[in-house]
Amino acid sequence: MTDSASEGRNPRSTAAVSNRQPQFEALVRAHSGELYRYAYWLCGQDALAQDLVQETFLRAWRSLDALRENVAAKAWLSTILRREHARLYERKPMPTTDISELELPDNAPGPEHRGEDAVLRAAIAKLDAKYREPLVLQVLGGFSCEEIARQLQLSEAAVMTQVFRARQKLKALLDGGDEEAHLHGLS
Amino acid sequence: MDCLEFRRLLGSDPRISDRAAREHLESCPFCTDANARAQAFESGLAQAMAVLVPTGLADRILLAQLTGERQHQRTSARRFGWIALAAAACMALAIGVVRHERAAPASLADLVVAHINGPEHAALQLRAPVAAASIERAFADRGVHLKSVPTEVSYVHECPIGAYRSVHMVMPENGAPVSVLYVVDHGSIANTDFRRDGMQGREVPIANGTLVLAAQTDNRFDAVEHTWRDAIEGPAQVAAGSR
Repeated sequence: MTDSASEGRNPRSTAAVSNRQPQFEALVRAHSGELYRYAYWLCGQDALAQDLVQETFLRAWRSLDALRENVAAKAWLSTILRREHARLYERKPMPTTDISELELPDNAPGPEHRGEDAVLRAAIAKLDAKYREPLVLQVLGGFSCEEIARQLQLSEAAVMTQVFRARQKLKALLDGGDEEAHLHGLS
Repeated sequence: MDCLEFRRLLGSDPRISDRAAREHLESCPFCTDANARAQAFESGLAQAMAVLVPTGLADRILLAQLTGERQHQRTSARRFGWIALAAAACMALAIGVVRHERAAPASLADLVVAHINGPEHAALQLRAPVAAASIERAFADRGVHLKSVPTEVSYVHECPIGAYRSVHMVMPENGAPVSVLYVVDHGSIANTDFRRDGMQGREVPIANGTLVLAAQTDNRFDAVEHTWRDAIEGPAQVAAGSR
């Protein structure tokens, strides 16, 4: 299933549009939040992440006929988003900011958690993209290593190694002198 | 499964769905401790990754999609305009030869109901209020300067209604949304109620245009009409009995 497969054929009659609209709206309401978080950890910028999610859904709308089962929607949308992110950098050189230099928003529920989230987020942001991306797909998306392997076009063994190393590196970063991480038992 | 295999599995997917891994977990106290630490780490990881989602993101995406869809339809219409022109000419010729009848032009009510039930039907689902500046700008683009801006508007767009220009809005009205269209260059003579395709409607002459309201019921029409008369003409004229 590819997002570009059906871009060329768009049922544009009023009836067809009306039928597709509720399905599309349900998709947006169900997946936009999760997709934003995935986009955020891909690019590290709030505004760019919102743009990516919007572009993803607009592309999904044009290819909605390619989505045969709603249960596959999350993986389908993640794939479109990742391609859209790649296209973004193909189209024009973006002003690059290292994700580790960015200020990360903190939506922790209470002051007692604020430090904890900030420390861990900074550590996640420091991970190489090849480790961060499968980890985000696994932890946020709930995908299995096999599903991640299909999405990233890697072997399942390679994904298992990457997410294993991602966790090891995170623990090493947290162990690397941050007392707050120790305090909260995250290291 | 031995401890080493279990720890590798725990590091790559802490959800432990493998049967052999679960059996090992039940029998090994060291791995049980390791699993407890891993689950605590995963919980913190999931919480840290769940960054705050911007408010209204889904509504903004849906609005962009509706707007893009409309533009696409216009572009397609231009692209295939010559085909449409040729087809229209052939049709007109055929009709002219076969019968000498003229179809009655569609009424404003017909045009508005067809527009609301078309691709913009999803606009009725929007709930988040749009910025007052967007409403003012839409009216200003149509040459109308509002005296005040109603706050309960969840959708606004400058839409052509047949040959007329309009500002198309939706007021959520507590789950019973009312479509409100101000058609700037259409002059009605008096208030007219109508019913089309299961919808109640009302045409109201205001200033140099016509306000058209459409909804499942007309319960809120009086209040909405009053709101928009105040907004377009100003409360002073209402008090002076312009209605």
